[in-house]
Amino acid sequence: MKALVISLCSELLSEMEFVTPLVRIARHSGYLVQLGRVGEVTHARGFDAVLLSGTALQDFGYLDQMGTLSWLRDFPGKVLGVCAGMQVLALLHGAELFDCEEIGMTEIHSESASPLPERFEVYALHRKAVRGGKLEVLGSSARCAQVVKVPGMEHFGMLFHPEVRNPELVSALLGRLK
Amino acid sequence: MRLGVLFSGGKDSCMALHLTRETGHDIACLLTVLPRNPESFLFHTPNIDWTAEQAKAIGVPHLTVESDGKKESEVEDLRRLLALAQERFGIKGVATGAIESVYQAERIQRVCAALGLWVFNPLWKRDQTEHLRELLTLGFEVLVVGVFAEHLDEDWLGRRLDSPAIEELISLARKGIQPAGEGGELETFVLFAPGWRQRIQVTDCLPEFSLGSGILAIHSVRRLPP
Repeated sequence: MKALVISLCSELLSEMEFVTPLVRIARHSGYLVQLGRVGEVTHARGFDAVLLSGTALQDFGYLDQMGTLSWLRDFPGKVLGVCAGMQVLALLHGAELFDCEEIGMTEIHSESASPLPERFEVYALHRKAVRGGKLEVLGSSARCAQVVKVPGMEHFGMLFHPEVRNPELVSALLGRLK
Repeated sequence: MRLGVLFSGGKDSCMALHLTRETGHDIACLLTVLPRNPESFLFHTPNIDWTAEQAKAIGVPHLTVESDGKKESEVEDLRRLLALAQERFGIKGVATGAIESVYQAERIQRVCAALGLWVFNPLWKRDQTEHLRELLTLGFEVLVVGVFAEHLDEDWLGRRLDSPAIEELISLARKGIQPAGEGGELETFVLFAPGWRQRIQVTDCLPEFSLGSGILAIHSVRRLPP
């Protein structure tokens, strides 16, 4: 199984923080991992999964690169967008962003039909959240949707940072998606 | 980007400094909160005053603020320090050596968000075994100056993190020690690292060990050519 991890970071120094941990989890989940950068990747043919990284709190450079990721909408494999990655995924499916800052540990309540635990603690680090669009909300904090799924596809978004306290969710998702 | 590096003088902040330089950033200053309470929640304490000598050896300006080290005021002390660095050095962001501590990372993120500063945590979630081995590969000279856990006895104080010491720490992971000391088991003091203009030599120090924990109190140092 092959995974493409796409960095949405404008700064290389941020990749050590937001991309490297995702690469490690994907490897531990049994994937051969290749790294790509937003703006440089134009498709993911030959990959089974695509992971989109988060970014530093001040970094919104990825919003200027949205046009280079439109192919993700029809990607037949599995997708996991983390934080900024979830925002990108949601925007591609008609959602909008709104100001919503959460920094630190927060609790997520999942929807009854969701495969997620009923309640769990996560590390959040975002200034924007998503609303609307053709998305199923699987879990939310008190402030906003935190886990979303694109109906009919194995494309998921997590607004929180699962690599910090919930790496098993990424592994489970990648495993479940296999 | 013009950055300040939160600097405790230990291996993690020195590695963060190294990685920040390696990725092409301009290091405007090193930033240290000097807690006057050895039980500080946020900040490194043993031998913190020697960060001034380390900064000279590195060759980067050093900005400090004092803190009473109480949990409720430490965040405000950090805010004061970062605001001062913005004003005096025009920094646009800070880099830290945080690896695992959500407590520490969250507070730094909040303060920086309020000040409009970028945050970089290049060691975040780094594998601790790989981290220790990389220190050695890159030529970091690191001294153990604090031990605060079972299985780390007085003999560790003043010990260099050389290959046998690192392998021993890694083997202690089986006994619940986090090898890089992220659980607060270990404090370190860096004598030399890549890019430093001078190295530090400790010329007088004394181990203080009781009830299973201790520090190596450094009393004097000198700076030598690399």
